[in-house]
Amino acid sequence: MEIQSLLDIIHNLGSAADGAGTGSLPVFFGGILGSWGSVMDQGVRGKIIERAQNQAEEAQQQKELRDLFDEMR
Amino acid sequence: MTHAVNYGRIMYMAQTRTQTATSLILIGALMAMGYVVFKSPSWFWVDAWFVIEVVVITLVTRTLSIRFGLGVFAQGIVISGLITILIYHLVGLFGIHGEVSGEVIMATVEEVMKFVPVLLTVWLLKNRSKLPVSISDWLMLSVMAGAGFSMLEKSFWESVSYPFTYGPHIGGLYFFPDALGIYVSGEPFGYIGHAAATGLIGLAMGIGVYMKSHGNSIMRTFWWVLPLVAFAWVTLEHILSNAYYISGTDALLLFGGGQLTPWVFVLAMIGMCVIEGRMLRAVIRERSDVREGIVRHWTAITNSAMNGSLPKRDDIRMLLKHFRAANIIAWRTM
Repeated sequence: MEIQSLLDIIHNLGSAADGAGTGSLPVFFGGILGSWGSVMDQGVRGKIIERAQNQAEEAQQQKELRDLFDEMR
Repeated sequence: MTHAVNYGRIMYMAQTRTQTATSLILIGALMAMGYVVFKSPSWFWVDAWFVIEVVVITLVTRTLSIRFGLGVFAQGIVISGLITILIYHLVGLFGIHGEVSGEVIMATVEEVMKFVPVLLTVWLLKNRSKLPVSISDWLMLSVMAGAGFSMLEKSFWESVSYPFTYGPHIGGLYFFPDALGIYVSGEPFGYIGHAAATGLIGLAMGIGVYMKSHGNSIMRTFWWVLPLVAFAWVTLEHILSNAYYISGTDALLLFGGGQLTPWVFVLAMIGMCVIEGRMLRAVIRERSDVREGIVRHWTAITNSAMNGSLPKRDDIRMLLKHFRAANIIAWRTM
């Protein structure tokens, strides 16, 4: 993508934000970053990681079972 | 009874948990505040000064660090701000922008939405981290959420000015810098400001929750009346203040033109200081481990000051952590 097109997109996004009643995208971006950190901080990340680890373990166990069946065949 | 709580574990809970999260919160908050400073420094200081006052007043009675507050500040921008803007456009579909009914809806939505990040954080703290929440925590989180929303709103204000600020002050230094007023029929007239309005609801919620656990049977049953009255009070003030600019109604003058609200806030804050001061004092008196931790770092800080050098950052950080741990114990055991 050309740099000019990228700049046009950013400019259009800014104009759209102005039209929506806020030209304050940096404030929103800051808010999103901070909220993300806040959610991580409050332990949601821990829960997600725990769930992902459980799923990975489950997948590993299923793979091992499949391999075992294949060997038995 | 209070010795049953493990101080080491409590100190761990009072400490910083993840560096990544802290970095994100700091970068996000600085980015948002930086833009407002760049665009309109005077409006930035109106909110920032009030936040600083509340952070300092609650310094030794909070169980939460300022990191939590900055996280809620960011949520005040995203959750409260974004949802309010979406609802604003939804209300526009019904063609009631610029009408009193539209203002009633929007002022109520704003007051509700500003409190959502506070409730979310308290819910997560209680259910995930099993941490207690003090009245000072309720106040700081509410003020932070309100300040986030307020800075977002002010970031797109153009050519807005008010003739005076009201409420308690020392010279030109006002405790509520966002309590901006106009004269209606020769009488002062205004809204206390987003951060202080949400702060008052938070204060009432904190005192209400305290009454629920510590009060007599009537207080335990009707504890919710206090936050509900605070919410109704600031929302009515907000509605009537906005309605003046639309229909010219001066109905807010019947309620003192909003001039009473800052004093109600100060009164509630004095109540908070009395309640929490007593609880903290009792824990420090009862527990030698808490007392030793606080005294050790306090002595190091005062020794540095007496020797004419700046106190070590670690001593200040650890002193505040010991205070937070002491407050966690107080709210868990009393």
